[in-house]
Amino acid sequence: MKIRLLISAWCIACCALLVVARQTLAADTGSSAIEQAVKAAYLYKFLGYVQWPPGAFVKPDAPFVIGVAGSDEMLAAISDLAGHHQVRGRPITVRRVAAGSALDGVHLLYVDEQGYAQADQLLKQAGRKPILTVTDGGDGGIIRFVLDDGRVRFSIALGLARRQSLVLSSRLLSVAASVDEGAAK
Amino acid sequence: MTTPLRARAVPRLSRSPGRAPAARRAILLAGFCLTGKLALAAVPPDYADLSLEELANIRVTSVSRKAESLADAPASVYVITAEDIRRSGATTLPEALRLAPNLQVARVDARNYAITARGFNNPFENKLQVLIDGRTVYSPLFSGVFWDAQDVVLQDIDRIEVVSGAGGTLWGANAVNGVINIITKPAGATQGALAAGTVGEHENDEAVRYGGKLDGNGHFRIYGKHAEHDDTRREGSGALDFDGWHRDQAGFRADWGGGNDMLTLQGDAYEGRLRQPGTSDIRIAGANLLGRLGRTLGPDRVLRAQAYFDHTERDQPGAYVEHLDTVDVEAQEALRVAGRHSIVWGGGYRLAQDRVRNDVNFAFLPGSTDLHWIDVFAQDEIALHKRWKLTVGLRAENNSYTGTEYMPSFRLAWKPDDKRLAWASASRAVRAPSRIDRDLYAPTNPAIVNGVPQYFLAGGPDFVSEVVKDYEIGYRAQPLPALSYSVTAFYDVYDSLRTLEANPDGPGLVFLNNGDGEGHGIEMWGNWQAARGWRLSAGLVAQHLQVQTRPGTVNAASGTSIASNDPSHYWMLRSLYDIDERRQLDLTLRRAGALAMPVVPAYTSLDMRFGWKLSPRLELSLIGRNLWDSRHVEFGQPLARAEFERSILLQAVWRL
Repeated sequence: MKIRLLISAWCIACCALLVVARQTLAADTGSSAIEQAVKAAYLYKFLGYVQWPPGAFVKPDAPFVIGVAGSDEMLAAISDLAGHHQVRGRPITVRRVAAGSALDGVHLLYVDEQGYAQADQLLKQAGRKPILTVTDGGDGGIIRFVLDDGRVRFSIALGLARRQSLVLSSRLLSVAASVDEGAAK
Repeated sequence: MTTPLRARAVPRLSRSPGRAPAARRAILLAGFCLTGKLALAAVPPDYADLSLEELANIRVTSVSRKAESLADAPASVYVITAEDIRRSGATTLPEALRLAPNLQVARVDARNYAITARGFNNPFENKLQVLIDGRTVYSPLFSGVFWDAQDVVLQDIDRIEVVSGAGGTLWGANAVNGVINIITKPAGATQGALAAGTVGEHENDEAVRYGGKLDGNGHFRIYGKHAEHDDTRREGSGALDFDGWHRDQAGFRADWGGGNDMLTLQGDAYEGRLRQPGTSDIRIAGANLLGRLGRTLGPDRVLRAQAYFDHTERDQPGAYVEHLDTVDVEAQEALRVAGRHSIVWGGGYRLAQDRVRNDVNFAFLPGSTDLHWIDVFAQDEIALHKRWKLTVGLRAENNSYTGTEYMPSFRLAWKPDDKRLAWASASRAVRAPSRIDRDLYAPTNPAIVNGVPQYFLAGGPDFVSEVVKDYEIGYRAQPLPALSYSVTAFYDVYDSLRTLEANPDGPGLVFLNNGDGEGHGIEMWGNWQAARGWRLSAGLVAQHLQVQTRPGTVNAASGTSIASNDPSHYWMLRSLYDIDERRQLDLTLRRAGALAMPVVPAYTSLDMRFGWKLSPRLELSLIGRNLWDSRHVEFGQPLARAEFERSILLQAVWRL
């Protein structure tokens, strides 16, 4: 009897805790500088593990272009990193994009789905091009950042990648928190 | 308290050899823990130099301040990673623990293990603190762990942190010789479906897990698992040992949040049957539920609170029936004060309601008792200088038997550069009495002569805590980007060890604390990324432990009490080789030195795994165990002990 009481009390306490936590969690969406720096580093690393179709680059040494639809801080973090690094001999350039922007020449598109109101429209635009879409706080991209136990991990929608003629390396898949076929066939 | 050591305290080598400036990398390798600190210190490290795996391990919010301190504060810590476990072919928790070079793991039979660090090994080993996701699993009945009742889905383990040496300040009573901290992945990292199964001639296990999303940035997983093992055979005669078992377990975990707040709720329930000779099966069952809340109040302040309820049952015919209910609540705060002090402090309370129904041979008296533990601790990590760090901590823990025990520690670290760390420590830890030390009587119903019960064993009314003073020095370095190692030398002084002696106040024998001991040794391990896709690692422990009874006293229980039966050395070598992107060949060679009493010959064992990724979703592994010789024994009395044969297992892991 005592045990049953204890268990019931415990369950009630947990539920109460959940309710309180849910309310406080809802108010908190800020991300730290360190989180942005880690995400920026991921974007840079992703470039090395994805194959774009022939024709995605105009010249053999043409730069990788990262399009960013997110906060100024995130844009700064990515630009900062891009300025000091190359991938496979190509420099990296970063530019801010918005829904309706011409996405020609963009290889990787980072969209903060929570912070950018027209994220859906932008992703739809990118969906017809060989652009690696990476999204934050939503599930529209080929790669989606997820925060787990305080760590930034990512999941992959393989079907979307295929539809956009991108080949993701098996190493990238093996590090992903999850890999699913994604919406498209 | 739980604790993700955010860190591989040992400089780990990167799996992708390469271009990274070693210094940068070493910062993170020497402890991902540092990320929290770096954030505080506003030093932007160049994350672009890290591998994908390393990025995935960086804490972007620092919740477990204490753990960071522990990892950064120098100690002999080895972290078994999920990858290590996957490639070892281990199918049970104790087998996975063999991967830690600083643990002695001896298999006793199909379900019992003797596991310790720094000696005193036997199946009733009682000087380790063991936690699964922050839940203490050593039994207050005997201070040891019923390894036959502990399980998790091995694919869901994030890492196992193994600390050898006294860890009482942060981990509480019982962390005398070490701490084993088993940490499962957050639910967000186990999304989708997984089905895993292993089948061998004498054992099999099956697990299914499904993970999905919850409202409010949350994730969950649920799992079910079944595992079973046949009886082993006895050395010599080859007779069945009646030690087979089967166990069913199910559970869940849900995590919410990110950013500054995190909430975890998890629970498990299990039921199992364990065979033992001469009686019907031992029945085990249990369930637990745990909630944990982490909140970052600013760059310099993190709070964490945890509570759990744990119920276990063990119905062991011919011995006892135990029902144990444990409630545990704890909270801690980590803060930075005046720039150079990183303080963690907190406290907790645990209540264990132990209900034992005794059999005739021996009895825990009183059968039912409530045990309480109340603790407060504080630790300050002081940056004395850019290269010097002093960590001072103290825990005061009150237990039902001996009152308040103090567990202080002092650690000094010198970090000449990002690739090297030298440290020294002095700490004190205690093993507070458990029920077996105080309440064990035999027989249950003794003859009574002149009103005095004639017990053969009359408890240990005067038994007090066993104490260790642990002195260590350590060094770890990463001289090359692809090479890292760690060396720790220790000197441990034990006093008040348990002895069994003539009862000064009546008939029979009682437990007293007339044993003293001294241990010293060296623990070392290293990692070498010999080539892309080929990693070699090695570990070695050489040790000497000497125990004696105090002058004028006689220990009547030489076999089970202070006696230690430990190898003078044990080592292992591992090779993890990627044949190509889909196939892997992994070898583990282990050697354990001979044991003296009872005599167990030294043995060598070779485990092999051939892994084949048929697709990104399906991986098959062919596992060979104990390939070195046809059979060997690891622990126990000659001819009465189980022997372990060469065996082949096939494992499939399917992810959807």
